[in-house]
Amino acid sequence: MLEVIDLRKVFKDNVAVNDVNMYMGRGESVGLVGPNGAGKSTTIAMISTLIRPTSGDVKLNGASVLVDAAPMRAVLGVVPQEVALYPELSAQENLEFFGSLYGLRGKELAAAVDDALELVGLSDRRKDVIKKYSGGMKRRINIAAALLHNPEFVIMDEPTVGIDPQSRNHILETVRTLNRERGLTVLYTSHYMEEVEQLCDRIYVMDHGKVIASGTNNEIKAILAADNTILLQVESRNDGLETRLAALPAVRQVTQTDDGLKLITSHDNGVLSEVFKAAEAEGAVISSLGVQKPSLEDVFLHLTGRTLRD
Amino acid sequence: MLNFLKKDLLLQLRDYKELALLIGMSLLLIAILGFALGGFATTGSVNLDVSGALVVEDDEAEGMREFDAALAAADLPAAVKLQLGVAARAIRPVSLLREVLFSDDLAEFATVTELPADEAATLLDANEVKAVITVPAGYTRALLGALLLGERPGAELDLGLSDASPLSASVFEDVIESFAGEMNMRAALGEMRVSVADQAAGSAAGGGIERVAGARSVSSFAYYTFGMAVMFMLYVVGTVASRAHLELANNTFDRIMITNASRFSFLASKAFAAFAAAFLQVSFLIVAATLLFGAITGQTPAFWLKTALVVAALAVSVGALTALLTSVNFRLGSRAASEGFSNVLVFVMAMLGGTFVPLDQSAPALAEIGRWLPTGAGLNTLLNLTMGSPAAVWVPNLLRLAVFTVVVLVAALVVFPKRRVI
Repeated sequence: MLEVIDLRKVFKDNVAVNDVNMYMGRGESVGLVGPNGAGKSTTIAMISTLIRPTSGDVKLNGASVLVDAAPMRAVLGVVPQEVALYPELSAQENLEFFGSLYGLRGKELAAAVDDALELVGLSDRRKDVIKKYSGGMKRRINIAAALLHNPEFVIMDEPTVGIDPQSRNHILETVRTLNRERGLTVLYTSHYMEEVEQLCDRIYVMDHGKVIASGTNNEIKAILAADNTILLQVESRNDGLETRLAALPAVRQVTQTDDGLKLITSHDNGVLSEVFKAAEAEGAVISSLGVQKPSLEDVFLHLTGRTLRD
Repeated sequence: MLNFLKKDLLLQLRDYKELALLIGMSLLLIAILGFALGGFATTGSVNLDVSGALVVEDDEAEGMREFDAALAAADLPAAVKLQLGVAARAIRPVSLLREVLFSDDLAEFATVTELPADEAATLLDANEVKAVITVPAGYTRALLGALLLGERPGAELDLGLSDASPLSASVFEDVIESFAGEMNMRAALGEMRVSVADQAAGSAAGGGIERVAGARSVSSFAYYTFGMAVMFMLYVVGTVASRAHLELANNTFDRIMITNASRFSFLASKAFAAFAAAFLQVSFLIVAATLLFGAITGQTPAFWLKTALVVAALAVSVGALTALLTSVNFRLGSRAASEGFSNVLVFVMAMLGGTFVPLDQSAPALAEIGRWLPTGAGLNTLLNLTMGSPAAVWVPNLLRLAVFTVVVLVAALVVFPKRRVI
């Protein structure tokens, strides 16, 4: 079991991580979501033993990794957000190098490299240098490099950012395989809430260095259980409409979307008629209106006032 | 450590452009400088101020009398004896040597002073004269006997050259070689036997030169081969240190640290990679310049072995510098140090070390600084070896290089951050 206890990191006068508490049981898949600057990467860096916290602790099976990082490093694999590979070396050369750093040698190393390449579906491209790979392929080798030593825990920091759909699906499938078939404990961070919803058993929501919500998918969505999401498409942007809607008592939050507005409202039967009245008063033409249950994205918006991609 | 080394060497070998640039540029510069400045020491067209000393221990008049006596006692027809006597008076070796050394032509770029032996030796040691030409006692008698009577062994002038000023000293070597040629020509015009001096062996039938220890001259090609080698090896420092910083920037360094590898193994691997690259680069350059331009010729296997050891010592200093610059880059979190080194410091170190202009033509304070840098210490050692100087001359240079290397290595270990720099 991995525990993060009152973890705090201060850089000069900036509190990047503010008393974060988390835990991960063996075999769990845990999501960590939050916008840029929320403190996710710093939290991951401390868990990975790359940087020392200002205060707090990280414990692996009850033993502090701040006292001795070696046991943690032996069982932890980290897939960083950036592709941390040598572009001039081939996939095989990269994996052999990183595998050797874990103490793998000879046949054991060769088998680990073969296994990792098989898992990410790039065995036939092992001799190609990394700089010739597509973005998606690089990210797959990035994952492979974290798995060579057969870790128990894997931290994956936004592994699908900026890649093609085919590679993205392959990566998501890989994560599922690692967690469900191989029993790896996975800490997964992403900007894409739908990925977290698909892959993770529990989720931590971070913003401004703090965990602002945690729980299973359903527990987090239940934060807005009493609310509805209304998607409003209008023919042209109308700032007056947004202001008028935000002033309605039943409306908790109004945000702009690409083609209209998204409203978080209470379960008020009269809210729809109020919306129509507001649109009429502002001269806005509603082309479509839909009501849906809140998503995790909505919960995030409710909690932070921003979308994940802001 | 081997895995680090393998990775770094692979990365270096695959950086074709960098390799080609380092080697190609240096060969090009050797050619340009070697051809452009190849004859400057003897043409007099460059502003030189070389000084030499002449020590005459021979009594030319007494030598002539002794030769006359030997000629009279020789079993030769009277007519032949008469001719030989006339020829002997035409040769007058010491007088002729004085004419050459004190001529107006030579005075345009060289100053020669006749001095007693001990005074000349003192000035040579102090590098206040670049060469000492000694006419030993009995020279006239021996030379005339060799040229005109076929006596053996022949006569030899002693030529002592300055270790610190190989190019300047080579002026006098050329002059003496010309003198030897003149001797032979006069003997030929006198219809006498001509013996061509075997200079390399140090023994000659006539008009020869004996090189004293440490007195082999250095061609301009050799000088600039070594000069370019010690300069261009420094570019390896900036290249490897910048590449190390790239590993920090693209998170491969973090990935390495997560494996529980030692930070100092990482640093050591950079030093080793730079050592290997510098050693191969300098070795290739010296061999290529020798094959293409004949930069270094006529040397013994022992010379090449010593040269290889000196190149290895230089490469170690390059490794140390790489470790230091890597440490500074990591401490600062940028490549400023290695870029500044490549763009500015390499040239400064080359200038101070004598790559373009011999140290003896620099201001004394700057020359002393240069002797403590890898460029100056390395260049001087290689030149001394080429000249055949004894160990007592070049070992101090190597000791300076060793001190520099140790200081830089210690600094690297102190500066390298113990923790990740954010």
